Amino acid sequence: MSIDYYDKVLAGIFASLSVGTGVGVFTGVPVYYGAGAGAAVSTGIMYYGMFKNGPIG
Amino acid sequence: MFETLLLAFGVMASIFVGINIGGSSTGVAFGPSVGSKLVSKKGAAGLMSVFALIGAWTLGRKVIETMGGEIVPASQFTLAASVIILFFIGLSLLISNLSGVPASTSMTAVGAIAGLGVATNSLNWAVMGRIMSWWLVAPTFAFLAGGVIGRYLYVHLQKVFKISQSDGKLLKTKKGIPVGLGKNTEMKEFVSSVLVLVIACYMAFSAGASNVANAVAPLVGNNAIPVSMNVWILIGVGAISIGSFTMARKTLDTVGDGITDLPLLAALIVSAVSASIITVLSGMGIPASLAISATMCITGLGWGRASRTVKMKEAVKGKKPGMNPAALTQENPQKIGEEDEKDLPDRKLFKPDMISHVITMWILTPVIAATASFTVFFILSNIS
Repeated sequence: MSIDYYDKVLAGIFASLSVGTGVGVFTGVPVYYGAGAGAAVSTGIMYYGMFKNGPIG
Repeated sequence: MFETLLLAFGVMASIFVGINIGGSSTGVAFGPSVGSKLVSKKGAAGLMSVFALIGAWTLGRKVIETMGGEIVPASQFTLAASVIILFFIGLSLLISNLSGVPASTSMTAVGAIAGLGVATNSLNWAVMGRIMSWWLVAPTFAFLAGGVIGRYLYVHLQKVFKISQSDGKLLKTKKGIPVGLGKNTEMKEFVSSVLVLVIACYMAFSAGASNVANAVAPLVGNNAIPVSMNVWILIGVGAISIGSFTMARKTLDTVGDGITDLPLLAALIVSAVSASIITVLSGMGIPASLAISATMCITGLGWGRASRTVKMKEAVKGKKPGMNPAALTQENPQKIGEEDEKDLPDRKLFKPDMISHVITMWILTPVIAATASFTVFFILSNIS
């Protein structure tokens, strides 16, 4: 299976959530702020994947 | 005398909130099981009461602690303040019930308490920041979970479960006791229906854990009635139970948006994902909206399903075929990109208008609650 645009959208959301949480777990930043910042980034990706270039126009 | 009246009004408001929570949560949690005739409405109300109690008793007290004494110190919950906050929570429930626009009770409650905190300069911004961070994480995670399942797993799960909602009763019964499968019931259908019921109970558990605080936290913080938190949990769950036996009769019939509208398998996935999110957050003492997680999971599921019909080239060029998106009832799994729009039956799942609905609800509810509450408490603290 080749990697498709939509796979990248999901991977992007997953990556930003994980990186944010990871920063929280492994550094002095509180987990909720790390995860929250990651979620802010993934919200942007989610918005793009749904409204800007979504599966229906 | 006035104090006693105010207190009585506060307790009544708290019970009113509990009854409304019971009414709406029962509809959301048990809509699919009542719809598939696995339980009667009374049975659903009974299960709702039991599992909401377990949820409230175990994890719910953490949420009560957060709302009743951490966002603002418990000392800020004067009797008047507690009653005003309960009034705001009750008002948002009333408006959402009358208008049909779901508002989040937890978000209203947190917003109203934050308004009190800002007006009296006692808001714990660190706790508030923590809550708001998780409010951002929960819906994105719900979308991600729904999206991954919808894009990669759903068609395969459909093969495994092969849910067909047959006519007739699920079980043969003798004097109300199940004695075997109904004449049209397949084994797979039975197993999946039992799974839906188990997950409904899980949802009832998470609703109890997350929502009992909305009914009782201000009065727990106030402590004008000096009883232990256990008593308040029982009062709150008692009110939720009354709601599930009375109001839920109507909500079980009319809940048309979200979960109940879905095919059984999708309902099962969405319920399991959103109940898990709310259970984890409640365990951390974070009040959060079940409806928002559920809606974002439905959206993700629909998005993931719809994405399977779009080929790479079209996606890159930004050419979107006029497709009928997101069907969740398709039988034969095909590879991603090979599915044709003709393969997708009528049921629409990816609804962009539903998403804007969520975003509105998600941002507006706490903001309105906080602003209104701030205004009231600001005026009160300046005239007294």
